[in-house]
Amino acid sequence: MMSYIAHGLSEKDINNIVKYIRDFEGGPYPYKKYDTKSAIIKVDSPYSLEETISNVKDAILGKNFKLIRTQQVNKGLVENGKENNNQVIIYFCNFNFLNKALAIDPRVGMFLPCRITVVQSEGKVSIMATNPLNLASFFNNKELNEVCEEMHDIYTELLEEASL
Amino acid sequence: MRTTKVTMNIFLFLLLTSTAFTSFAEDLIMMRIKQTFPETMVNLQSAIKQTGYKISRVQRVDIGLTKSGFKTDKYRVVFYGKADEVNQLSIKHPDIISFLPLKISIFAENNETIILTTNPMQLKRFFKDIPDGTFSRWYKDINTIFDLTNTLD
Repeated sequence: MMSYIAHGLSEKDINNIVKYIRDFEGGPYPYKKYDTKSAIIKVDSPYSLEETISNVKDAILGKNFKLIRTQQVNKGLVENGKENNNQVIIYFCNFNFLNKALAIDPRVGMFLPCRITVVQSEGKVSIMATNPLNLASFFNNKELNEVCEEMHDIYTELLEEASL
Repeated sequence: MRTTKVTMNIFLFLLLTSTAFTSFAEDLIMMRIKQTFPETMVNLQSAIKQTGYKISRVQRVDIGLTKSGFKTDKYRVVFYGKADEVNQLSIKHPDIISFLPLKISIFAENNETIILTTNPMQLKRFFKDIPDGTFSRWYKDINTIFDLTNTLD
């Protein structure tokens, strides 16, 4: 069969068609047990910013993830020393998990590495992460949905553990 | 054989012109660049700067994977933003922080390179208190960055 690129379709068009056709399957959506209406998963922490960051790191290590780095949100964008220390990102990864996800669809890498953000605003400390289930909807791929569900559960557990 | 081909073409035409298709056609913004990874990486970083943004970091996903024993082609994530914008948005709308700084993934596929990111317009429905102009400007800038990356020598 002749490639549809040869018929004049762009790769983007083809990807969109594949996604559209997959929708005919009638799901894996909707998720019944999950909240897909929120862009983020967020909890308030009863601890100080420093304690919360430490708790998040402990929780990440406890789940066999590797800490990659901790940095302020605006690091690299502002002069050294002028970063906002009240907004801290903790990047982490499980390379086995990452390798599995990339093997399903290399485009999933744009949601990586895993990230939890700790923010102190108006005296209140919050822990947040992007909701992976919203990302899953971009692909409509059952295997990726399972990965995103797993990631959603991991994020939820990490946030709960760090704020307990 | 010819009938099948014509039918398929009609089917694809209908798909491409349907309203339903358009509504979720751009969850992801992706472009295949017919250049090698190193060339595209240089052009991408240059395009980001030319569009008025600063690169805050390049995450070398492939290095981490390789060190952990997994075989992978080149895969990086480029983080970028504008300091003032990130500062203002993150203070006024703390929930958007999880999506900042902005990022573009870049990975090699044989002798070509793919760049992609999520469509920032997808965030609009979650952050109704952020002026629409922010997301549409990001969208426009991403398209400019992608086009520049594709055309720079």
